[in-house]
Amino acid sequence: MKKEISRSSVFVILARLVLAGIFFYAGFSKLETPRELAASIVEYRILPDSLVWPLAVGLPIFECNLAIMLVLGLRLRVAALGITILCAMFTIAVAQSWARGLEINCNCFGETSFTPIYLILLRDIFLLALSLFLLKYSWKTQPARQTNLQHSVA
Amino acid sequence: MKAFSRQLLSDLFLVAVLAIFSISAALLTKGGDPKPASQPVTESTPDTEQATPEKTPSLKISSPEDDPLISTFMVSSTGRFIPHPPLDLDQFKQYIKWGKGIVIDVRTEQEYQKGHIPNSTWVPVSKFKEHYAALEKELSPYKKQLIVIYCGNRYCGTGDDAQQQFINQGFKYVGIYSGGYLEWESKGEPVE
Repeated sequence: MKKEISRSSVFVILARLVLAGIFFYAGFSKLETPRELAASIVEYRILPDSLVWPLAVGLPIFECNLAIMLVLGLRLRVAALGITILCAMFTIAVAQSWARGLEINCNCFGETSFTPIYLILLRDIFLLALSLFLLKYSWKTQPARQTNLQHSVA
Repeated sequence: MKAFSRQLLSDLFLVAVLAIFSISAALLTKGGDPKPASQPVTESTPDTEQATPEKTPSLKISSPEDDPLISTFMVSSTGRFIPHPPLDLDQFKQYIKWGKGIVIDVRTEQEYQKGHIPNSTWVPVSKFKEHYAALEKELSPYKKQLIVIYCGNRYCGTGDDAQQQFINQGFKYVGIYSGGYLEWESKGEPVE
């Protein structure tokens, strides 16, 4: 039992570090290039024009904030939920672009070269799976407050 | 179950607050959209005039009827020179209809081959010098009239880079179609 617990906590710590590292790097590398990011967001053809710029400037900071929360363990459940929502959004955006045959420059890490879209999709699915695992764990270890209260009353 | 959904909602609320905080902080520090969807052609300010390669304090077209677009885009009502104003879709279509100019696509080969604006000349900004050298004879006659370049969309920086490259080559009036290929295609305009 002890072994199982320690093994799962090692996985959780690894997942937190991997996700935090990836998201911090992704956010930090895009902080100074909002225009390039906006150009990439426009190519996905999902968002109305008015939302492109706010997302281009806000997303890198949001990613960095979530990464810091993950590393420090601050509101782990909220951080895991935020990362999961982002990963799901990225996966859907890339998948719909692939389905529509759009040529997109991901610009996920501030890069300017084209990455094959199926590789981007695979990476996003992997990150989504990892974030879902972390979300599930964080709900187990930090369950709803009322449930805790009910347990203590019982 | 009720507690779970309540907690989930509360977490979602916190995520939304964090997202709004991030976007607000970013907008405060980085400012608003530098390239809004419809950019009106404005008269030049002293700062923008200084940015032009050649100081042209005022430019008077002797016969505006001959060059209606030059008169529309390059000279304001007061006759002051407006340096390289971006063209919106209507102005760009008007420019094409005018038939005396040249439209230049500065995107990558892959993007150009997938689709481009009819009759546009491809001069990728990434390999500008070699492509310009090959097309110099064809492009030189346009040095003293308005040429219009376009890139992928209104945020792509390649348009600005290409504009500077053409100016360095001695082109006097280099306009940018602000919407780029994305707007042209999404508005259902013809592509090749």
